[in-house]
Amino acid sequence: MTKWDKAIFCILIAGAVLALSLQGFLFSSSPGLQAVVEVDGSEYGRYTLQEKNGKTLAIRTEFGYNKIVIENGSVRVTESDCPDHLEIAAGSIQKSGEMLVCLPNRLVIRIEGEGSVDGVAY
Amino acid sequence: MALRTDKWNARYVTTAGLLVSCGLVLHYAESLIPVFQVLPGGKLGLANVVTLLAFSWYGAGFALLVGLLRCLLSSLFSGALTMMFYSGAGTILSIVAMACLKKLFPSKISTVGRSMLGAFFFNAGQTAVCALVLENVYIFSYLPVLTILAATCGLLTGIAAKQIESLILSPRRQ
Repeated sequence: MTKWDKAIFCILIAGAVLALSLQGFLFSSSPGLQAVVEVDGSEYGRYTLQEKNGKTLAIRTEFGYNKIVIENGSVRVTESDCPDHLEIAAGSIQKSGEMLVCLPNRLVIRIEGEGSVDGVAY
Repeated sequence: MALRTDKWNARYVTTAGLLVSCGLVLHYAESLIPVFQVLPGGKLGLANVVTLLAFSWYGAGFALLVGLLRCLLSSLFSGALTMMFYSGAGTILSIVAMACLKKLFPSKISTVGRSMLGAFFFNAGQTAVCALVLENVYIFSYLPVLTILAATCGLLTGIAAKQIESLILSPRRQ
């Protein structure tokens, strides 16, 4: 292992840590957030995160079935008919810019709101 | 004599076949151990040892041949054909990046460095295809997490490839 190899390792780790901390800085939590649900790239619906009693949505499309719960300013997926259930394992999201993805069902749940950026390129 | 000087000689083709089959076995063996599948889209990638060996033995073109054949066959065997687009894009991008690295800094970077850079560009390619499929650039926010994993796993597979290189003589030199 040459010193150039070590340099590559350090550059990769430093770049990743920098990008992660920038994300934490940019996607800070703010009021008036909305959960945007997208199916197969097109918008399915927008829901405000400030639901006092909690809201349950059943999303049934040609790609599959997901059940989404919005409560206490956060969104999570509780049921899915996809094989791996990664979006359930991902837990709940609450900050602007965060997202849940269910690739088999082509479902993306993203939080949008004031203070969010339109796009970040790394 | 003509066959010996020809690039596509028996040794070249046999080495490609052996490397592809070894890669498929490693890929399958790794999928049996769930500990290595840490994050979705991220895993140890032990089978990439084969691509690294191919690269240092016969160069980028040969590595591309072995890598793409491995992608095609492993996605056929696992039954998930869409996987081919993700890993295919990753393979092409990572081998191009490794070739550029070799061209820019000849003899300065070993297999370990190539492995780490290759792992990063594999994930970058995968993420780009995922962003295209979902038509969503926000997927790239997942790349930093994958990069940390890529650097670590690339380091480990790179060390493994280097050890194998010192044990097995290149078929080119034999």
